[in-house]
Amino acid sequence: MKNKAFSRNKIIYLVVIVALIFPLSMLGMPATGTGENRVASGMLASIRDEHGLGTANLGKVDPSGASMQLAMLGMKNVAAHILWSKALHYGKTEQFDKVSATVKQIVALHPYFFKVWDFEAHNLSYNISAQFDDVEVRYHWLKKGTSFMMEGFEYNANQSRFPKTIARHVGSKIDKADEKIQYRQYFRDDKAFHDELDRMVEIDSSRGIDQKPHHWLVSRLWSKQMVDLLDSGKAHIETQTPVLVYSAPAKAYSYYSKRSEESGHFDAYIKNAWKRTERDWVEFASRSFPTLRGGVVKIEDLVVYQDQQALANERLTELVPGVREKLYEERLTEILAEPPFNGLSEAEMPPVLIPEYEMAKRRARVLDEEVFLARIPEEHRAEAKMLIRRSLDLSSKVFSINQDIASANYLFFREEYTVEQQESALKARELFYKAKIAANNVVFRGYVENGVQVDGAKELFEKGFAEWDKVEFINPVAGYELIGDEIQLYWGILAELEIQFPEKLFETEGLQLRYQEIYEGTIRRALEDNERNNDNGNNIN
Amino acid sequence: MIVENQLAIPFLQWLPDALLAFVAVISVLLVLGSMVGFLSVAFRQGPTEAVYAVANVLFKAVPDVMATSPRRTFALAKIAFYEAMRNKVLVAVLIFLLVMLFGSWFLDSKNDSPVVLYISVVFGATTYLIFLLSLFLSVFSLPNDIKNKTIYTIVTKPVRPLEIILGRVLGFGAIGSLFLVLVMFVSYAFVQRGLTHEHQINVDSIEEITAQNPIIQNGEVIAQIGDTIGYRGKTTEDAHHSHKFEIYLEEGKGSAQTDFKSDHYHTVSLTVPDDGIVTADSFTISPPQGMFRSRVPVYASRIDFLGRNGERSVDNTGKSVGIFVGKEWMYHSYIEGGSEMAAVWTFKDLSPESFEETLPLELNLSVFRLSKGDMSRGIAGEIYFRKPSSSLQVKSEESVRVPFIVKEFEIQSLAVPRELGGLDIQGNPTENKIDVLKDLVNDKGEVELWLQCTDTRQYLGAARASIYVRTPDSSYFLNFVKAYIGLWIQMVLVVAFGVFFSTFLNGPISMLTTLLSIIIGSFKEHIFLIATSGREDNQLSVGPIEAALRVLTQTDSKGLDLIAADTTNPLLVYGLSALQWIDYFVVLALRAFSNLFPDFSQLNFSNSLTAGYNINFYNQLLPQLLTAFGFVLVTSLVSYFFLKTKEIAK
Repeated sequence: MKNKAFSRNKIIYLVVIVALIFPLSMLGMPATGTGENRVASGMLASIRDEHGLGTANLGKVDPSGASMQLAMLGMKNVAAHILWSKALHYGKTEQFDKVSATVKQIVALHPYFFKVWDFEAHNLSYNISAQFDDVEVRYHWLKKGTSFMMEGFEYNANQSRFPKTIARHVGSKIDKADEKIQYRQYFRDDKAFHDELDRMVEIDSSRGIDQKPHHWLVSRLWSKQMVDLLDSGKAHIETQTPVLVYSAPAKAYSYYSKRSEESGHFDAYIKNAWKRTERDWVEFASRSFPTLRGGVVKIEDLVVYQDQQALANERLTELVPGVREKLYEERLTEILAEPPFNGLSEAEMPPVLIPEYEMAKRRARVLDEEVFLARIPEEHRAEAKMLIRRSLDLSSKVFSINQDIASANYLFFREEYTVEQQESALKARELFYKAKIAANNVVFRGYVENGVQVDGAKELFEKGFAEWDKVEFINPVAGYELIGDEIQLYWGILAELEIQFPEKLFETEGLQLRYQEIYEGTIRRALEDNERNNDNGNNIN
Repeated sequence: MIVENQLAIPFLQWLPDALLAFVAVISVLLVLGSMVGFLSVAFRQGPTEAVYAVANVLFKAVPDVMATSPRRTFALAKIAFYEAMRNKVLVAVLIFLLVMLFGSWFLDSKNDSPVVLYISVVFGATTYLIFLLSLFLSVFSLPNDIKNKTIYTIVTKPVRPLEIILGRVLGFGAIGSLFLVLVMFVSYAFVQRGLTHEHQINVDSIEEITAQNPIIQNGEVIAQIGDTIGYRGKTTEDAHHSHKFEIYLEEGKGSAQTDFKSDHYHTVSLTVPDDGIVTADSFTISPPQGMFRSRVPVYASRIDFLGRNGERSVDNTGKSVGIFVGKEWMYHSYIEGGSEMAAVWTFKDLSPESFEETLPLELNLSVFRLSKGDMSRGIAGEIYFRKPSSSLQVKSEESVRVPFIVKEFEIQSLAVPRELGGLDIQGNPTENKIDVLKDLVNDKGEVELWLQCTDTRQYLGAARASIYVRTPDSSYFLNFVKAYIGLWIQMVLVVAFGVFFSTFLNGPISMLTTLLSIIIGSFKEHIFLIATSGREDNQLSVGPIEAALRVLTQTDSKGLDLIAADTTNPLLVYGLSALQWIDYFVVLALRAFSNLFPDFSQLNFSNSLTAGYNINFYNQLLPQLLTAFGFVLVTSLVSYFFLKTKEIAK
């Protein structure tokens, strides 16, 4: 009897197991094939593919890493923690090769976390690299960190922060480090590294004027990869600032053009480089960026919105003249009656309250729609309401665009590419270049051409400023900033020659105004320093 | 690479303190054991019986232990050995082979120090396997015998408990030894094979070296400006690296070493063909050299640092230190360039007969740049020798300066001629050259080596092991064997502890406690540091209550004392005092506890192996062997008493 029940139960279990096999296989059948031939057979595999959730969707799958994780028996996080402590210890005790090896083990356990790759890549390229005295060895470690990040990108092909970080390593780090002169040279001649980069970006399209890959053009390629990934929808921008992300390729091109000029090229090639830069920035300006209110704006539409807003305000003023100004006065009076002003007028305002007073004026200008509409005759109220709404909407868009412009420093770069393409600007740059060489000639402080000593640095700078004066600027003040370093060098030469700084240097009003500001500020600071030194018993003229 | 434990205390200096500690431990354990025995019997049968019982055990134990028979012990060891073989434990060797075969999957193939990587892998794999092997062998044997009652087949024979213990320790130790020997040869082959590679010449990189000025030799012009005097180039890339070389020719031939990369260099030879056309075939490249080294350094007996004022610079413990540049790891002390600051090594008993013409120095200095300076050049330093005088500030005879450029993070060789120009006490050049190892040695056989940095605003970092005199290398294979002896000692300790715990705990629990002992032993230094806050005088640190209070109150100074000072309530004052006493005893217990376990980190000699330093048998291995012997003896004796208290042993 017992045996019969036992056998019956066994048969029931067997039947249930067999019955469950069919739905299980439907659910869990893995995908077959790879790439375009990939067929997601089971339901789970299909859902994974659809939402990009499978490990294979993230990027490369590493069998050794997977084996290591399996061997950890669920304790991979403990192992990763221990390895991380070891890596920090090795870094502290200057066993850098062990750091590198340990870090490889950490990423084998956690290949899909960006921060793991980012932290260690930064450690290799920035911290460990700086420990070495030999510049060539520092460059070697910089490359190690970059290669490490590239490896991480293979595992995380849909994460845009990887190409962004690689772009920064190749661009900013090589370009702006203290060892930049050496790094830039090493990078240009480093064929092995170029071959390594060529696996993931098209190195041939990043050749500079000397037909060798230029670090900024390579950085641009990586930035473009990042942008393409985001545009394709495979990657999400996450917490990154859209304006900074999308302006990266254009900035890289700006820097490339600038560096090419600095290396002594002022011909049609450079002009074309700046034209190409302009194209990148125009593309950036035509891109839509989200606003805080939920809409999208484009930088290129700024002027249009400003014009439309002006029209709307004009119409509103026409419709109900003087109402706005009256409301402003009333509101301002209300605000000034409250603390901390307590009824003070503008004339009586103490200096300490001036900033708050400016803030109060801005607050008073804010239009209270209901109060405003109540002051308007019934027949105009509907149109006024529409105009107010429109004005506010445009104002918000303009505000958003201005924020984007400020974040990307768009005005500066726009000024730069607009100005640097002009013949006068190129001539000025050539003169400045010669002037800098002349300034470094400690014997003569002049420029030598074909074995003949020609103008001194002072004369070259002045000729350069004269050429710069001929340039057409969008904003001359911004145009001044483009030669700020040259002005400082010029003053340095004058100080050496014990010549007074000229009060007037430019004919263009905007340039001269800005120059005047800096000039007066410098003189004032020098006088203050002199006074301070007199008080301390030192007298410096 | 810096190996911090290279400067081991000389054996004869270590021995008295070690013996004292051993005797102290034995005494403490004896007293503790007697007290525990006394109390356990006293509770049941009263104090008089307890005294009698304890005395009985102690007095009977002495002749019992002394009568231990080596023959019976070895017989039991043989049984244990065969038991382990029957359990097919040598499958672990197979596992190790598999790890070696597939180990390359996990290795960082582009690592700049492949020797470090490979040695770390083999030692890591061996350590884990040997620990597991010895753990499972030792902890389950006795409890299983007791559970299965097969122990009665042994105890019914005239065997003593100590023979049972020692037999198992020896038997399992023998199995572990056999495993280690097999694994050692496999590891050696793996390392040698894994690092072998060869390069060819990169044809596109070959460039001529032409004379910039006329070269005159023995009054004869041998090369005019523009003549080819050599060739430079690169090798092909193999094993993720390539080398650069520069060869200067003499009569159409020349050879040179490549640069040092990935822990090795090659020797490149060139023979210019008769037709004068140099091709890749004109070069020959040797296999990798310098990879497997066993340097035998002679270290200075002391190092002193002179401050900016030329006086000996010390810290608040009296130890001579240089400048602290802000690095977290304070192994190096720094001297300022362009100043009076210097680091002084005092070498003792350097035998002139061992160094005929040159004094082969090796340097491993650190650099700290205060300003970028000339980044294309390394930092310049100079060394010179001086006869020790009554103090470092007193002038005496010295040699001329030998300048050099510091190479950081690599062992830099500097062959200094024994005969150098000299300077007298007034600093005037001597007429004749001086012999460093004769003319500058004082009555005590000491000679000073002075290091100064010549670049202003830069610093050189040094420690005692940063400069040493290199004597002829010893055998790398022998060094490899010595490193494995370190592993062997760890294995023996694990077996001893495993058998010890298995005498009074069951199998799984004794496995856990043995594992815990291994972990504590591996982190012993860390535990000791917690107990002493890393203080060099090893005084006790603050306890857990004080530490918690400081964290809560965010105060740096004594928290409990501060609170006590602020209150007049006697209850609070006494309470705080009691807390401080608790803290004190907790820390004392922690420190004592850490000393109960062997320090496994001291037994890992892989760092010496990878850095290419000889493991000194007398100063490094022998103390560890004796320490391990001490642990085995103590654990065996304590196990003896535990086994004796079990019914089966009566």
